[in-house]
Amino acid sequence: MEHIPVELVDLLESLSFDALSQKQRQLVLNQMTEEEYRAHQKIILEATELDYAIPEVAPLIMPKPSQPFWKKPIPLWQAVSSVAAVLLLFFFLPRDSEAPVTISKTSPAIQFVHDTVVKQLPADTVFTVATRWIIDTVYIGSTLVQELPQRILEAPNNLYIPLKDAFSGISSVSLKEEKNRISIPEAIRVEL
Amino acid sequence: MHHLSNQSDEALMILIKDHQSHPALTELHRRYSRKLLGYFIKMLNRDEYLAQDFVQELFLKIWEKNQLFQEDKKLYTWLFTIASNMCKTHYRNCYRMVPEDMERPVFDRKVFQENITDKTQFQEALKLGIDSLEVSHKTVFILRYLEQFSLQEIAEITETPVGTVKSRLFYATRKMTENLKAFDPKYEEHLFKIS
Repeated sequence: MEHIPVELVDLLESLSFDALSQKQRQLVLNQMTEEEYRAHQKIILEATELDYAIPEVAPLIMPKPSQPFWKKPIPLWQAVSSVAAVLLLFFFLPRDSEAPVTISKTSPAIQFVHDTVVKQLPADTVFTVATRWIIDTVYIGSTLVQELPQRILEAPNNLYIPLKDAFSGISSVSLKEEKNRISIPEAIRVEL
Repeated sequence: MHHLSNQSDEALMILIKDHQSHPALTELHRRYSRKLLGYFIKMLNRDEYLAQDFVQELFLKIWEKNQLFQEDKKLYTWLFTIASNMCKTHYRNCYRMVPEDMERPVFDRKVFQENITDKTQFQEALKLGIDSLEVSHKTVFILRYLEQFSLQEIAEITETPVGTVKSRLFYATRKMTENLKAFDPKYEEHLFKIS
């Protein structure tokens, strides 16, 4: 669309071509001829005088007032059937005691709690086990050395690998004896 | 009911918004239904039955969409905004269903050749010329020259700048001038000033 100066419409609605100033006339003639300007004005004039036959307006049909849903009336059968449905659900749904026990999957948080329980074991039990382990280990080493020749006799087809001299020289040491207590860690000795 | 006739349009709208007041809606219908019916008749190519339906539908919209009314604006302008949008939607749907040249009336100059200087004939030709306008041009032309709205009000109703309104007015007038060239104007001395 070509550009139309907005002043042109103002002039068309307010001034005849003869009443235009020289400057206004120039503006008009840049867009249209004098005859077109006059014809435009005739159309506008006639349009304002147009007479349309307007009939009587039909009466307004009143819209129903809008209500929130909880205020809207419902038929009786709907209300009764709703109550019946609730009662049926109440009587026929399985109770909590009959419901199967569901075991939920352990979450990482619960695993953390499990770790905490382990840490709550009595400290003296831990120390007792550690003490026995030390003593038993010492005795087992001693037993191996003592039983080795007998085992070789009982299984002659086995490959015999002689023990190193240092190993065979291990002898049992009883940690229960007073003179050996010095080799046990201080904390363990106190618990014993 | 009587006291409502003294209320402003905006006060009536508040009554509809806050109290779902039927009498307030009836009062608005009493004030503007005839004006709106005339506008719809002009916009809908003089189909009176369709125009009556549109008036009814418009007041239903006011009732249902009352929260969309902005109290700082004039109700009168808002009513015509709704009316214009309804017409625009109607034409869009019509053009979707049938080809545009079948739906829009075509101005046939030959019909008026014999007695084109007769004023009644000319006015009929002018109405047909308005009917044949493209909907956006028709809207501004009718609002300005047949309903006597100001340019600023038309800009608000059509939600377009004033410059666009003027541009559409010019093209609408030019289109009709081309259609009615055969008419020999004889009202030259009655040039007027539109308020």
